Amino acid sequence: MILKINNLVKKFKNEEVIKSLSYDFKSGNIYGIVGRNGSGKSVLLKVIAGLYKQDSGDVLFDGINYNDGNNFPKNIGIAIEEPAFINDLTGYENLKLLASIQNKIGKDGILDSLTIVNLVNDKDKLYKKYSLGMKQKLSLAQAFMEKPNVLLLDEPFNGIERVSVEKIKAYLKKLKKQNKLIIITTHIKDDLVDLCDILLEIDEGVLKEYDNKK
Amino acid sequence: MKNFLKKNYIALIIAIVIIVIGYIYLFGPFKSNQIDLKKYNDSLTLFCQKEENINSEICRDFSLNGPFKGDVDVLYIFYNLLTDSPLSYLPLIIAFIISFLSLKEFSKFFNSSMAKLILIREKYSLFLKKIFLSSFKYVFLFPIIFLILYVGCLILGNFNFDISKYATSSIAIFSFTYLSLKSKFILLFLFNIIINSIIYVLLALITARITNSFYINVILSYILYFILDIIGEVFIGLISIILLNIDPHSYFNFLDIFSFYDIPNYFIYLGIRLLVIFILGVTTYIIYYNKEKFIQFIERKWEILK
Repeated sequence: MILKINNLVKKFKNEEVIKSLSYDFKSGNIYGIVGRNGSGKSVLLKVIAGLYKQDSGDVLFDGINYNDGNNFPKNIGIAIEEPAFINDLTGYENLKLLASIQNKIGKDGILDSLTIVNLVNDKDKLYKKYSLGMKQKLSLAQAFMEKPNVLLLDEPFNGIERVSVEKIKAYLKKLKKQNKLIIITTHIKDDLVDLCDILLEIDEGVLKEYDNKK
Repeated sequence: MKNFLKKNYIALIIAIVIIVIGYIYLFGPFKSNQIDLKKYNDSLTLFCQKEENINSEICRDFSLNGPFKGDVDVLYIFYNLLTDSPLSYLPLIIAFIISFLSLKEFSKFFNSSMAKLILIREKYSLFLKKIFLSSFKYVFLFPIIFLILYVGCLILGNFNFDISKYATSSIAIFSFTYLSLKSKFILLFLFNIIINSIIYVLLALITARITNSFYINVILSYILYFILDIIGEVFIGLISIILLNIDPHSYFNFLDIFSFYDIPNYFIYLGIRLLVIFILGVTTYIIYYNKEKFIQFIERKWEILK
């Protein structure tokens, strides 16, 4: 699978947040995109996920453009920005609600993803009683649960304790071997060095190879 | 069942309270009033049978006009329930209740980033359809409540729709156009509530995109509802009086949805409401049409709530 981005431009009030960005992301790789806050990395992921519409350029999944302002890329999982689920539902119920949309997985699939992120023991707690780390884990669990071909993860390890981070990293490496495409963004490069095959940098909407001299 | 109760407990509590109040009125004050009238007729009959009373004024009236008409038809009972019981205040709060429930349904997705997680799993148009439908289910809340109350009226009125014999029947209230519908009148009544409820839900959907606060939006949709009535009754009414010399204000009375039977032509009344639904529907479509703007709105909302 190739995710091809051609001359992508995204503006907000005439200000270009992403400037003529082109890149080919290939499955079987973990890509890390490093960028400071406001560099355009979250916007890039949202455009790829079809949540934002580009002003010009293309986002093509194996040559197919899903970003028409209504559709969504098939087989994609995202965990972007600070997670926020429905407060009055438990962690498990929140995932069940999302899983019921496409009906790809049942209870076992949900429990598997909660196990991967070390949250299965807290699955019956109300979401509003979750700590920041638990919320982040639930966000990752929903991204993993339907076993998508493409994973877009924005600052995925925020607030998660070391043991779980290592477990999640091991799982991501396993997904890579299954030929999945994984794109991770962060503002802390050290989070990604031992995980990513290709490290990129985004600054003022321009994507380039990461300069290791930094 | 448990899930249904969990999801709809506020609507169920509201329905139960209104139904209980309605039945207490029907089988309490209203029924005892009818019994008192019957007792009065019986005692008057006995009184006037006595020779010394026959020529009294009250007995002359009694023999001329017959007994005081205590028996009533179903529509008369229903009318009394709407106007004489505590339920007579309902027209003022129906809009508020429907707006509140619709916005509550909506806010589940507005107050979290769930919407974004849903939108990578289904089309935006389908997402909107689902949350709109979950809000529009409340247009059936009050029709169901009134249908249950109507059953009480049927029982109390012995299924009597014959208006010809009774002077105190609904002939004094409704025009013949509506009375001729007899038992079918309730269908028109319920249809009318559904039509007006659609307006309330659309107002709620529009206000949901105005501010970031659920409670302000509830109040705002209620204010919009009053503005709609003022525009109709005052502005359009005034212009019609000045220019066309006709007073259409009753057609634009959005505040009292029970009083549609006051208007001479129901089809004009219905046409105005359908036009309002069309305008509000188009406005709602324009407001929600853009997926990115919708997402940015819930993101801004989330930033404020954090």
